[in-house]
Amino acid sequence: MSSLYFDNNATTMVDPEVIQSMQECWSSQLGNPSSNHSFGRKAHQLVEEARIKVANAVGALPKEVFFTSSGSESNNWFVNGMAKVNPDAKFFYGATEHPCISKPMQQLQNIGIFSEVIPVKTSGEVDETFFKKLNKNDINIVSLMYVNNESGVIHDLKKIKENLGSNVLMHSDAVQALGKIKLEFNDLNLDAMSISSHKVNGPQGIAALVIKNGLDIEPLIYGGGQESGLRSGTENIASIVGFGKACELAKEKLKKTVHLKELRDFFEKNIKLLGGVIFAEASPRVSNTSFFGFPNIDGATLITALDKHGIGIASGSACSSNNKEPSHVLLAMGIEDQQAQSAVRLSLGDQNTKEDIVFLLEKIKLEVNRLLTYTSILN
Amino acid sequence: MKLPIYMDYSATTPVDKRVAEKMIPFITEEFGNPASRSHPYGWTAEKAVEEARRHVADLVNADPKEIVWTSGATESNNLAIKGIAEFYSKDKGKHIITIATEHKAVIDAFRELERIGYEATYLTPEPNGLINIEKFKAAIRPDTVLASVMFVNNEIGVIQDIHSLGNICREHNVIFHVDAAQATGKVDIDLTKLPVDVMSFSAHKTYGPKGIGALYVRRKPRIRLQAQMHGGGHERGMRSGTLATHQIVGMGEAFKIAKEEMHDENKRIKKLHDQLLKGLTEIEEVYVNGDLNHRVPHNLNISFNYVEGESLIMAIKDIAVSSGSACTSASLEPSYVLRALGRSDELAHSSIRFSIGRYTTEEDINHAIGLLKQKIGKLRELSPLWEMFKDGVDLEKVEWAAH
Amino acid sequence: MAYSDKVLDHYENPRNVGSLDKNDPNVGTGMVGAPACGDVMKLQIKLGKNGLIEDAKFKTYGCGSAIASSSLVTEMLKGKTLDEAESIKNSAIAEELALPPVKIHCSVLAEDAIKAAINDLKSKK
Repeated sequence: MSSLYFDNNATTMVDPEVIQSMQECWSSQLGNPSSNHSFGRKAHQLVEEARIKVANAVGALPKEVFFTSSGSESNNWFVNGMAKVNPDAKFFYGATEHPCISKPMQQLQNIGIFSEVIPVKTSGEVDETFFKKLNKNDINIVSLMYVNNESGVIHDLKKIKENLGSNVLMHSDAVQALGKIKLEFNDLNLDAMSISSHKVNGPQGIAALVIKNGLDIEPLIYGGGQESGLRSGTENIASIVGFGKACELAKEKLKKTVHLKELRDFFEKNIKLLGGVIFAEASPRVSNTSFFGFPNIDGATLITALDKHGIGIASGSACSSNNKEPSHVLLAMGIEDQQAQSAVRLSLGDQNTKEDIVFLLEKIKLEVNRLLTYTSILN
Repeated sequence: MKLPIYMDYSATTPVDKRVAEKMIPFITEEFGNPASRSHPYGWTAEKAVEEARRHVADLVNADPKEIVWTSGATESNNLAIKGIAEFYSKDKGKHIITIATEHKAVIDAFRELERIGYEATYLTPEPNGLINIEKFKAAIRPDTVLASVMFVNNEIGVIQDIHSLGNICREHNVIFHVDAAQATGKVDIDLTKLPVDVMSFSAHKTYGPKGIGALYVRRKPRIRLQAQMHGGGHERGMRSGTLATHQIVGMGEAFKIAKEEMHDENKRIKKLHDQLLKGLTEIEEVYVNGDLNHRVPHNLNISFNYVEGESLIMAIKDIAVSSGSACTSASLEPSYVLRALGRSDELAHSSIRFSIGRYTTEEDINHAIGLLKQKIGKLRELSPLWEMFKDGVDLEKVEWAAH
Repeated sequence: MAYSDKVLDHYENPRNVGSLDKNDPNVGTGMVGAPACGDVMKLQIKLGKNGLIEDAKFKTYGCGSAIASSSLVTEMLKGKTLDEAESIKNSAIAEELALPPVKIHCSVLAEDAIKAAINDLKSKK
């Protein structure tokens, strides 16, 4: 299948098998999973089966998986829920985190709770020397994303957590890691982790917060007491089932990352030949993502130009594509404003072929040359 | 007739086939993140989301700009209650009012606010489930910032006088939130006339998918609220997080169908309700819970005295009903809603909620009546309380060996 | 909640439903529970001349597990001495019916009903 969609870190196509599993939910009469009759029990069973599949995909126990409505909710919940239990704790988060971690972290300051940014190195990885200032007598809560959504940079969470020791509570926004790299919650020794369905060929609107068995956390959303009392609201059955199916398939997807890396490397080689720059090129990165730019060409302008050819590609995080600010990820890595403004993100999915990349490169070349003519006139 | 018969529409409704059909293209071809503005995949999704927003707004006569998507009515209620309290309490004060018979999502959001220093009043309704307007007015204090009242009760189906309650809130400068999860498609809602500031909706109680809801936030006069989820700044900053386009489209379609069909549908359901009521009240010692006039016909909550609810549900397993709210069905406690009406514990323990809807037929109702008559008889044969009642023993005067 | 086949069997075909003459000196009546708690069990036993329980009857207001527990108990009691009857433990009832944890109290109630019926009988002697 050919596709000119190269924005798979924003959202992925839903796998046909996932769609089928969801359609079955909509066409069979399912009750409310909390109801005791056969309709409700069937729904409940589907939810629990999906929970096992999700848990298996991320190396966690089923009882450690709590369904939420989005990765953003999972992240907000972690920050908010931990702050309610530990108002005296100190919160730390990486400079390249998604706004759904950084904003709730900043909000904590409004209610008198300490939070601070951990700087990143030019590689995009956090500067671990920062952790020396952590006071062992404090409750320290650290949140670091496993894979950055824009640059694709991977944090060595296991090593970081080992160095921090068991006194530090650690959460990871692993939304971009699922299906891209091996993800083992218990092996990483994390205390909590956010994952999302629509980044892994599952439906939108369903995600999970994985919470280590025994970790004390308060809910974000109160009510009927679903999800063991930690996340109220009638379970989103069809989406949960779809998420479960997507997780089951995600293990298979990992095998395809070699192929994606070949495509990505081929793409980057050619981008450099065209005079482009690859951000975080030498850093440990996931194989589907390339964050690149052409000097003097505004990323947003290039994207609009490519759009006319039917190409879907983004400048960075989809959530912030309404604003014209340069990528906060690149700025945190010490990249100059103007260069950061040029950034474009390629994020591949299983459906992308070499022909797609060739077509894309052709159009990039065309548009870059055209845009450079304009800028040279302007200069 | 297909068994078991589903009569638990208040817990959740099946997804209407027309809704499912409308949703499917949006998880296949039309995929795309609605917030990705830079490519057409995103644009198509955005258009669909805005059309759905209009459908939701149309059902309640609101402006589409006043509709914020959420993951369901529970989140809407949490966002409304905590969001308003946090935004306005500095100026107005920290007193909040609700009704003891509200859904858990409202009650627990109130409890959470109490934990952080708010003072809450939980008004007890009249025995018919309705709020006494004078008592409501009397509960308002100068520092009352918010009142929250549900439009249609999920357990007993009574319709509150939202118009009068809203007017009182306006007079006293109290922000008024209404949980309308059980009301959409059942009662007419006109937000150009109703003095309501914020209103919660759910898709899956109105033949839409689970996991999607909405919050109406009035623009004139403008109501502000503190977001409970921060991030990409979706939904004008009131609610962040990538939204499921297919779910939103499903909710839009469900609400569109509701607007088109509710008047005919509700006439039909009223007939079924009356038929069920007539049949079941032929049984000795039954009590209808909730006002018989101010109610939606979709709900009939009845206590069958001297028969325990859970064993009755087991006995009538051909029909799927509940003993109250689905959310609390795991607990052994009798319904807190019925207790708030002043029902005795044994009547509360003996209650069954029948909730009917779009796919309920006359045949289903007749089957239910026949089954109930038979099984109530059988269980009363088994019941020591029925025996005592028949022997003329006053159960109120018996000293029970509590355990 | 999924009930075991044994609970369903006793619930659908309860054994020994009914009442014995509570004024009979050889009949002991135990009534335990309260309507407010959602279950009331009435258990009656009749002692034969040989000192063995020759009949047992019950009526129960309560959930399926409560009905099944009392039905099972009436079967267990027949042919037992009072001492043997008194030694019936709730765990045996719960185990036989495979009651889920939230329903263990039903078996406790059944054990209480046995004790109450025996006490009533003894008080008549």
